[in-house]
Amino acid sequence: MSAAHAEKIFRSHLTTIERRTDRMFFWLLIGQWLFAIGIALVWSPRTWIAQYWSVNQHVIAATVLGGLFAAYPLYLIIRKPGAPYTRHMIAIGQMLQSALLVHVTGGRIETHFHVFGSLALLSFYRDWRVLLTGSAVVYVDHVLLGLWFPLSIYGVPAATIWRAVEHAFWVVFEVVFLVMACRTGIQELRAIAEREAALRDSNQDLEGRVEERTAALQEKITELELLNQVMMGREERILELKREANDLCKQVGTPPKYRV
Amino acid sequence: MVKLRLKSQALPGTAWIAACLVGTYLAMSYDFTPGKLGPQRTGWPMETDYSYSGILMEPPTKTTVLAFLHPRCACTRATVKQLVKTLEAHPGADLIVPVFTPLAGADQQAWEHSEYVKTIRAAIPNATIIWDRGGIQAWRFGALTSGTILVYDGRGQELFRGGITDRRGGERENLGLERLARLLAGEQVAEAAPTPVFGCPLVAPAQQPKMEAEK
Repeated sequence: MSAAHAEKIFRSHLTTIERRTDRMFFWLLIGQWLFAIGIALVWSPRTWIAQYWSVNQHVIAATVLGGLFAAYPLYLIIRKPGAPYTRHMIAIGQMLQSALLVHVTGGRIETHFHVFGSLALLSFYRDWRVLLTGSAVVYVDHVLLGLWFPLSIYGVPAATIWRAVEHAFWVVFEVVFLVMACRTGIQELRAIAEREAALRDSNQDLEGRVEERTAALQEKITELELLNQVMMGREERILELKREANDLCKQVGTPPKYRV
Repeated sequence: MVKLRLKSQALPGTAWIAACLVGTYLAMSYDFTPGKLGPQRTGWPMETDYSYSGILMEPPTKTTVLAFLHPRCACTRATVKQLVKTLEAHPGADLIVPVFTPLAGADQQAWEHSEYVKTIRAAIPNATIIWDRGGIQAWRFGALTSGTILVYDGRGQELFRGGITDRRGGERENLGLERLARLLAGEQVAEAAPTPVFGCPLVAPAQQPKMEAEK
């Protein structure tokens, strides 16, 4: 068994998984974008100034921002499927879409479940670095929110701030286990590749031996066929001689000596 | 070659992230920018030169909550939810809800047919709903943004002014909601600045100087 062969099989399987996950995110990013627009249209379609209305900023944000968050990852999935850079950009786009959904639903706690779901989906890549990128986006999002709009943090009671810390703890909790799952997944994939390589090597040995045996048999068959041809030739010659003897008998007026 | 490839990837990636940050900032600034409150009042407005009469002309005789709402503003949903939850938990105060309707030129019935009003009536049957034509009462009470909650005691002294949502349409806990709950529970709340109100304007900016002149 060659390690290079196992590595080649491992890379091939991993690339298949990565490209399959890229395709999943391709449709997911588009679906989430449309979902955010739908939510905004149902939840807050218009904004009012007394009796005058205009399209609500949430609808514009869902349409423009949702499209922006999805656009670059979608482009990379088409142009560079399976590339590490592509999946890191997907992680950023996916977590930004989580933030957008939280935004268009007025910061509903329930929508924050999307963050946890997204991290789980990113673990499909079996690349723990992608999870770190996703978590970093969540962290930066919260830090910037606090910097840009202190009201979002200081406008809430202390209990709510501690709840946010609690949420962060659960994100870390989830990521720790997902990273472990990713590493286990890679180890399992490598073990499968090694088994497959061993199996392929063993099959190759077997095939070689079968080929050797087949060649030997073929040689024997050729020899036998040659022998058969010689035998047939001799048989023909005997018959010819018998016929000649019978002809000679006929010429001297005696009955034929052989039955032909 | 590798450096060049990294550069060619990093540039659009960085530009995309920067655009996302700018977009997020703009979207969030809409959510977290509070609306105007209007002129600050210290007590129940006693001006009599408003040519409108009704329940809001006389100061209350018991603890009263005023909730100024726009019937079509999406942010009102969260305010109604928070208000109903708080008043159900701490009953006892009167609730008056001035709901914005246009002055004229609009189908009043269509404006008065509001899911939010139905929700309030179903949850708090004693609530008094009044139709605030053109936002006159909102102007009078200095409550220019939908979602403004005012609390007065039985002597007409203002105990609370501000919003009870954490952002536009936000349903999370917030200081305004906490203070309102404590007040209605009978606790003493130290006087503090009004809490931010997130909602749609109840008086068009063009209308405000006109109202100021009429005052």
